[in-house]
Formats: sequence, C-alpha cells, structure tokens
Amino acid sequence: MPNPDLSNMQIENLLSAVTDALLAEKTNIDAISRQYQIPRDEVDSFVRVINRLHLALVGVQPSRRFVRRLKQDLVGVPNRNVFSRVRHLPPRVQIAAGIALVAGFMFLSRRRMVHDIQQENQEVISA
Amino acid sequence: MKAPWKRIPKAQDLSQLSDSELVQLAKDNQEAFGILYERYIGKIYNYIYYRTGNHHDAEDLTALVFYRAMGHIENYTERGVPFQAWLYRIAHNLVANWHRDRGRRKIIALEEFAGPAPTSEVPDTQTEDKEEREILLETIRRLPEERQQLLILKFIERMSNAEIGDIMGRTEGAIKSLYHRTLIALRDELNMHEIGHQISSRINDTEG
Repeated sequence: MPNPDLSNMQIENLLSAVTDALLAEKTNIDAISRQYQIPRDEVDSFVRVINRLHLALVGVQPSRRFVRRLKQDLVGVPNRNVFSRVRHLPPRVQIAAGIALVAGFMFLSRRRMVHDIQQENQEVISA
Repeated sequence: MKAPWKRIPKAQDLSQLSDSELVQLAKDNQEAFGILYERYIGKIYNYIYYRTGNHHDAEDLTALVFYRAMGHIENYTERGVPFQAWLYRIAHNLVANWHRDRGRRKIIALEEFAGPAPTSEVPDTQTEDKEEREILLETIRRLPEERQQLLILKFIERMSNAEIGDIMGRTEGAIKSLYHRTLIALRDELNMHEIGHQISSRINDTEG
C-alpha cells in the first residue's frame, strides 16, 4: 500500500516544480510530471489552476509621483555640501581642517595688512 | 591610495551594496535608506495592493511600512530574518490591522482589483477570459489570509519557497504543503462554481 505521507510529499514537490517552470515560461511540464509517480489526471487538474493563477495575478506599479514624493518625505533631498561632508569626518580631521582654515584666514589677513602698510608708506614717501 | 578617514559613499556606490551592508549604513545615513527604499518600494506596493485591492489604500499603507521601517531600523538586527522579510512582515501586520479596523473584508470592485487583463484577439474570448479571471480573484479573496499571502508572494513577487518561508516564518516544507492545500481548495472551489454554472445554464435552457 502506498505511504500517504510520501505521496503527499511527492505531489508537493511536483507542484512546486511545475509552478516554477510555468513562472519561468518553460513548457516542459510533461517532462517534470514524468519524474513523479502521480496520476496524470491529478497533475492536469492542478496545472489548470496554476495556469489560471499565472494569468490572473499580474504585477502592478505604484505611480512615479507617489514613489518620488514618498522618498522625498522619507529621506529628503540629498545634502552634499562641504559642511555635511565635514560633519561626517573623524574629530581629528575636523580639528585639522579647522586649524587649516583659521591659519589660511590669518595668512590672508596678514598679507593684506602688510600690503596696506606698504601702500601707506609709499603714499607718505611720494607726498 | 586609501583615504585616512571613512568617506561617505556616493549613491552610485551604495546601489552596489547588499541589503545587510545598506541596513548598517542606513542607521545613520539617509541615502542608504533611500537605496533600500528604491529596491523594495515596488514589491511592497504590489503586495499591499493585492491584499487591499485599491491603489489609494495601497499607497497609504506602503508609506506607513517605510516610515515604520525607517523609525525602527536602528533596532533591526539580521537574526535569521533578512531585511526583505522584515519589510514584508511589517506590511503584513499593517494590512492585517487595516482589515481588522474595517471589521470586514473590503468588497472590492473587480476591475479595480484585477489590474491589467491579459489580452486576447477575439472579443468573446476576451470577455470569457475576464469573467474567468474575476471568478478566480473572487475565490482567492475568500481564502484565509496566509493562503492569499502565499499566492501573492509566489505569483506576483516570484519568490522561492525558501524566501516565502522566511517572510511567513515557516519552513520550506511547510510552505510546499500550504501551497498544495491552497491549490486543492482553489481547484475544488472552481469546480463547484463550474458545476453550479452548468446546472443554472441547464435550468435556463429547460425553462427557455
């Protein structure tokens, strides 16, 4: 007498294999069915249902507007300015960047100041 | 040369990363979450659309899924539940609450539920196809929730039994078994419907 558990397992495996084949648009259903000892009538009754499901359940797409708006609400507009990049740097790099910025500013101010003094001196001499 | 600090990956680089890597980054990088969002928005929307049957509620619930995911991503740890499965579970819970809140299964206009119909050259065949499809979708909606979920994941999302098992918290074997039972239920329901249809046609013919 056939073991009902074994037979159930066989048909479960067959149905999964047939469904995968149909979803992949393969037509070798007969070849798959022959690998299992399931009566042909029974297989056919399931194949009809699987085929109908395959044709009826088709994917839908959300509207582009909805997708774009939700993304904006969730993550906002990407922020790629200098400050946002510096904020993600390690503290020692942030400190170094700060020192370099201040030093640069001081260098420029000093150069400008020296330039102004030289100009004043020249004006005094020429006067 | 490798940069001495950890640079912020560009969106282009991020899209190459796996879900697990993106989830780790997404805990403090919104752009990483944005990539995950783009990867799954279509799938989650599809799933919710077929569970609710209309675009309006599908949009609302999809938005809720991603808000919830973003809010809880810091606490998410991948312990046997991949990110995709985690998202589907959020979606499943929200849809279940949505049905509960309504107190009943929503009656959906079939055209709205059905989506684009398969094309056919002959108008009569087209009508027949459409009618068959409507009957099938109506039958699906009468199935228990977990069976509907299984069919959507299998036929719309084209997932393997193992992936469906991850989402539904079951083994691959259990999913195969559930699928078998679902097909039996559908086949029997459809046969009953066909027999009923034949009987009513005969009665009509006799009366006519």
